[in-house]
Amino acid sequence: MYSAAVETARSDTVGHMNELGEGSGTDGCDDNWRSLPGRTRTAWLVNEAISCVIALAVCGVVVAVCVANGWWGFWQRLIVGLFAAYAVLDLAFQPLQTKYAYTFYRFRIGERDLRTRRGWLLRKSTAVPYNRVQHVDTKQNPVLRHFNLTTVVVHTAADEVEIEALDTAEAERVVALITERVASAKDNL
Amino acid sequence: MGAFGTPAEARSGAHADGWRMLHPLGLLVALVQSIRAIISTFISLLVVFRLLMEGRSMSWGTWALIVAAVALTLAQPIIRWASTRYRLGVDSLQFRSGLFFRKNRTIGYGSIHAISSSSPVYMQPFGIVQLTVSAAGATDTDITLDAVPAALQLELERLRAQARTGEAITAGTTSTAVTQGSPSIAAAVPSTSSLVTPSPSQSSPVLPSDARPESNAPVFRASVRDITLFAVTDLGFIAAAFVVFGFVQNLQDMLPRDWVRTAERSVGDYVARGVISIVMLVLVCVIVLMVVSVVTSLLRFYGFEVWRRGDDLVVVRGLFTRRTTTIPVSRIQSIVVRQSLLRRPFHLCSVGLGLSSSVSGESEESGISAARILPVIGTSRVYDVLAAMLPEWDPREPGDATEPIHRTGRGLLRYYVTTPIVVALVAAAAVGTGVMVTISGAPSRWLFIVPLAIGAYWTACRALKSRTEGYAILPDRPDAFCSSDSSDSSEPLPHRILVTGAKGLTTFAMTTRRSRVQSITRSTTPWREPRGIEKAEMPLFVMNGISALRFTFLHRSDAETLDAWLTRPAAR
Repeated sequence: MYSAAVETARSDTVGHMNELGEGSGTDGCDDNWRSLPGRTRTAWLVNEAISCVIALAVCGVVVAVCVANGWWGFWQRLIVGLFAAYAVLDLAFQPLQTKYAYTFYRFRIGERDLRTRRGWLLRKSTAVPYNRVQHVDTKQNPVLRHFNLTTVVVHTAADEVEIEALDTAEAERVVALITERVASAKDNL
Repeated sequence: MGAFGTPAEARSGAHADGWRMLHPLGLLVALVQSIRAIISTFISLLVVFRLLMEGRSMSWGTWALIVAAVALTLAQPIIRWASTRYRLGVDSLQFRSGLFFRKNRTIGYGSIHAISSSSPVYMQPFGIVQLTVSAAGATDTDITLDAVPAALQLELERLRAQARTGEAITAGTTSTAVTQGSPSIAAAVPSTSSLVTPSPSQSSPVLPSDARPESNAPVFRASVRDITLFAVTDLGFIAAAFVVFGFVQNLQDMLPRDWVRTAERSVGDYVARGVISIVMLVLVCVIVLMVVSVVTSLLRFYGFEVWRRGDDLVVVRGLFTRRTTTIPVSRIQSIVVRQSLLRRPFHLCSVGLGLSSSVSGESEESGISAARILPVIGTSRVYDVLAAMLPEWDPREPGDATEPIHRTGRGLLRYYVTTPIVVALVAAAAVGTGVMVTISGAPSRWLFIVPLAIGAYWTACRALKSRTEGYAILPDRPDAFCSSDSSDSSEPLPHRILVTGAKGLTTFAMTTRRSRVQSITRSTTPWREPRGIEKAEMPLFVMNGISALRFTFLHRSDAETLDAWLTRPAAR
């Protein structure tokens, strides 16, 4: 039922994106909405699994300290229990969450701006004109490095926008493309 | 002026190898500041020692430790003062300080963004000021000179104007397309390197500085009545209550227990007399806090004046410590006219400027001057004063018939208030149920009123937002496209937008420019999307005050208009 809802939502979302999209640009190269590589889901899942293990380890340390000092009362058990339960449930639902996040994530390197879209329940679309871009970074944690993925971070003066988990070679190409479009962007102030 | 106060002496050593020391008064000031910084810690430690050593005498080791700590505290400002030097070089201000960790800093005259001075009452007879020279971006690129002749500020202003005029002439005679030096990037880059920061005027058209707007009188002067009105209608005095409460708590720990018990008993006896006594006590507390607020405001804002001098706004204020802050107009990212709930019935408002530099440390006073460029002013005159102060911004009143505000929240009230009402009811039910199950006692059964009260406040704020949120894209004059900054003071800056809204129960009207908006984020949900209802947020490069244009709910057509205004500007 969820998959059917996802498929329906995806078509709705595509329709929604088309409403707000500009259409292809003149060079037709990178002006279309694109999704992330398939192995991004696996990378996200592994990242979340590691976070869950760390969270449970912290809970274990807290329990050990409390028990050793005789502080293991009702409220401590409740708080630690809730925290651990949240971490475990979060991990249990991670495959669904990852599939959801991956399905509804899109980015587009347009003629005048960079756009990203994410989410279905809370649909968010961000547009950054190139003449606002200050610099472009990449980042890669060990999990992403194992899967040969890189995150591209576009910085403006006030905030930053991420294109998560591209192929490393593709990420370099995207950085070069964005940098080139930033350099040629007109400052219509 | 004192021995160091003549322009000739300020200029001596300029453009030559003449490193100068700070005035000896700076040493005294640094020592006093150092003592003030550690006095509370010192007293707390004394109290702790008194309790620990009760009945015993302190060993010589403890005394040695105390003496060493005091000596170290006093030695730091002495070393700093003795090692600090500054020099007016050929094209830059140079500064060095430190004995073990040496700091060298150079700010080119053309890169100076602001020069602020403060003149405490004890420095005034000597003609000495504390000077802060700011470059673009973060405050850790500033140069602060603790005690220098007052004439040095004038000299630096002259050198800065000379450098900028020279750069403007150079820019006017070349045909290089401006990219890095364009005002949006120059204003937007939070550079930490003062040497490479381009001057904001680099891409300005060539004009001699005396052709720019000058005023022989301040464009605004706050009277004592204005400052008192500001203090009385500023809700900050309520925040002072928490500070006083914290102070009283600390005092209780230090005073003898008998005194504390006697004081508490006296208050308790007075309160026990009845409701009228409680009301009187609260009234007295409010009056005391208000008096404190008025006195503090007078100390801070007495003689408040705003001058327009060329491309700078100069703010002068302060009773005992006279502070002069220079704000380059090019640093201004937004103009915000605010009207709090207390000020609305009196038709009063306040005006603040959004700047592109962070406000901390030495630039805090500059930030305060900018945040309250007009502390309090009548709504009938505010736009006339702003037009005189910042003609290039051409500030428009939201009710202006030529450019009516398009209210984005019209017809969307239910979207604004649904969440706070539902959350308040759920929270009240949860608290009420929890209290009934866990706590016994009649008074605690009324605890559910707390989430209801918070929910009511939240609902009121949201309802106000629905009435006030809106925008007006202000028209550009055709020839204003020629340059990004208006060359003629009568031509407004291009690509301005007027945005209205509310923060809490305070309404605001903000004027900013497209170049200050960094991106746009639109969001919606599956149940709002078919009705074409969205949220929009547009972050601004503003380091103080309102840092984004936010529309809590708006129709898709409005979101498209704003998106297009930012990302698809009309071709020239």
